[in-house]
Amino acid sequence: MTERGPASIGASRWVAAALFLLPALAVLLVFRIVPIGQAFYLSFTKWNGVGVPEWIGGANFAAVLSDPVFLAALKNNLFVLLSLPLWVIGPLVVAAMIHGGVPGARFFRLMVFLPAVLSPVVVGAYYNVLLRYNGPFNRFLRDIGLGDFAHQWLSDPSTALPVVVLILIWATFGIGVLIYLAALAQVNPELYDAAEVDGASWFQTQRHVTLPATRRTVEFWFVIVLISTFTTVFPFIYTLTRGGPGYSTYLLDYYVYDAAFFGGSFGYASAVGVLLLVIVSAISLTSIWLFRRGQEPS
Amino acid sequence: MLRMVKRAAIMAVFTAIGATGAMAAELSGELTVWDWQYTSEKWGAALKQIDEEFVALHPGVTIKHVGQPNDTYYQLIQAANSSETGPDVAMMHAGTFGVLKYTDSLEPLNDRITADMRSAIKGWESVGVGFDPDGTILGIPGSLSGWVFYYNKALFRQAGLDPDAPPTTFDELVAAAEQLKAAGIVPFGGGNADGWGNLQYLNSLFPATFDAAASQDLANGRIPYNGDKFRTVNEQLIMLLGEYFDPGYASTVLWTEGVAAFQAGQAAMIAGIASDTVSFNEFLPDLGDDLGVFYAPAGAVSDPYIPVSSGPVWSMTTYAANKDLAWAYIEFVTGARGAEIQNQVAGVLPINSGYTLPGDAPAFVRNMLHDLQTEDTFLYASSLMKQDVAFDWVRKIQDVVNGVTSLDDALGQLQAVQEKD
Repeated sequence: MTERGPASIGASRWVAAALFLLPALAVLLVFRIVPIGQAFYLSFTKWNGVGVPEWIGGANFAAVLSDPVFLAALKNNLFVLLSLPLWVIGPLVVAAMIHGGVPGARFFRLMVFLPAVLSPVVVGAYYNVLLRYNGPFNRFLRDIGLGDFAHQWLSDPSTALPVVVLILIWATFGIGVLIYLAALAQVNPELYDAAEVDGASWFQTQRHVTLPATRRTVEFWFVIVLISTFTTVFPFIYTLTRGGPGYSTYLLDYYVYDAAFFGGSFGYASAVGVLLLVIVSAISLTSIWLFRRGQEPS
Repeated sequence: MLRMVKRAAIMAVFTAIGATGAMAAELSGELTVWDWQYTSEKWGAALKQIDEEFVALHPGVTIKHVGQPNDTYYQLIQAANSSETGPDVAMMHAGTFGVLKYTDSLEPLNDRITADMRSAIKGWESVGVGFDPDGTILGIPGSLSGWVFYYNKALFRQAGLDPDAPPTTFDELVAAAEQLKAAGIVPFGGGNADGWGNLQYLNSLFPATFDAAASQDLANGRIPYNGDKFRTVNEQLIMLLGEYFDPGYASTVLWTEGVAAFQAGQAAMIAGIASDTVSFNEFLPDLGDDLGVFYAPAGAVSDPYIPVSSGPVWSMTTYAANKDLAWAYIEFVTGARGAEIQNQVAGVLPINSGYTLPGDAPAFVRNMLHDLQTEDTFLYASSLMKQDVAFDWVRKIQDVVNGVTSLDDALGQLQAVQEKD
């Protein structure tokens, strides 16, 4: 009987690990890597979804970069990015209040989280009706004597995108709060006791205890929200405004859909998708780099 | 039991027709049909009856009829075409919104169309490539549709207007709107939350400036979108939108709230469809004798055409498994009996002269059908515009109305879209 050497045991472990990983890798390959590769290939072609794609080199990218609709969508996405501080800090403040035991904390936690369990389509359809010119919200304003404030909230280009952003924040707020609450639960309570003993105000406590203790979570939430603003707002836009009025709420992921399925230009839509991937990757990696740089000892 | 009796009766009728009976024996298999009306109450009932009778005629056939959602219909068609796993027969829109956009995935039908079918059915220009009735035909017109102005005679009367003398020119239209507005009545109704309301009005105003030849020139790129003619139509529309529409127009949906408001007498006029939805079908029950209709007003063109085309068109996909079966279904649904069922059950106007309205059809409907069949007609603007041009126009005109951009810039950009390959 021969004993198996360390090398043989190591190899068999690798084989076992590979076998366990194989199903997941196969799924990843089929549903992620291959589609990304296909989209990349299609972005260099002219293809209407039927027949054989025609190779046209970088023509799609040249056209996209001078396309006023793409530039309008990009501008709108950058506007949404400006709301990130509200998106990131808002839930942290509410989480800190709930964690600090504000009266009715459990009720608030439930209320804040409720929108997060609603489908984006439900949220979009609801606000679409609520905010119409003759809809319930404006009717309410008129009923309480504030009729002058009644407005075409989603049909006026000056208010449509800000209102959409507020709805997006409202809809995702609860998830942020929940993530922050989980992070706050890990903070050593003695730190809060010490702050109290030292006579720190609520604001000082948050600044010197909560923020440093949850910094990693803030960074995590920041990057998630940042990516989401580029890639997951489609159902909200579709149900709220369809990108209108005009192109005032037209965002990049909506453009990918529109170019492919309304315009029938799958090659062009793929080019927009590839550029979207590049933009999101660049902004996300830059953010992560800045966060890491900020953590380095000076 | 009733259904069995009905089936037996239908079979007996068709068996009596020898030639048809012989053909029935040849067809079998499953046929997949897609449309966007199958789930609606009246249209759905008509299509179900058509399927039932077709299956009774061809007992070896089963129909898998899929009612797809209206607002994502063409995305689903596009996806199905990509994978070639979609319908054998598809209901499509006429013109560039439907059949003329999906030329790669729809089967040319010229070789199957008989001389009788040619002469009985109108609207071939709306299904022929290049708007050519003698060109490659990609679908068979299934019903008659077009764009008209419906108006409420009671509101006209209330404003001191002659209810039996609706506007015939653009200037008269504006004058009527002004008088209605002065009487505290909203002149124009509808809704534009999704951009369709403006397109509807564009279709109805377009013939005042474009005669049939100019319309075709615009469609084929010989007249630019930033030229004087198209600018005139847009200026007229923008003026009306600014002065004579309900303030909630921009945030309401035409197909639901717009229709409901006109039914309820909250607007005096609405650009509607001659058949199908946003049509007399929805307005007659509420307005009765107070419902009136007039057509595209005259402008630079003194004798404008009525913007008309086929309503839904029936097409066969290139990947249909059994093309003879698919064609038999198309023949049936667009034939005289198909037209009869669609009219009787869903109130759809027939485009096939093999079927004429029954004597007890409402006078309003008989008169309108007579006008659509005897007056000069041509395709409407949105059927002529390339789809991406039409979609871009829908957004651009909102920007112009909202002061985001100028009409000059908007039309310049629209022309750029037209010229894009």
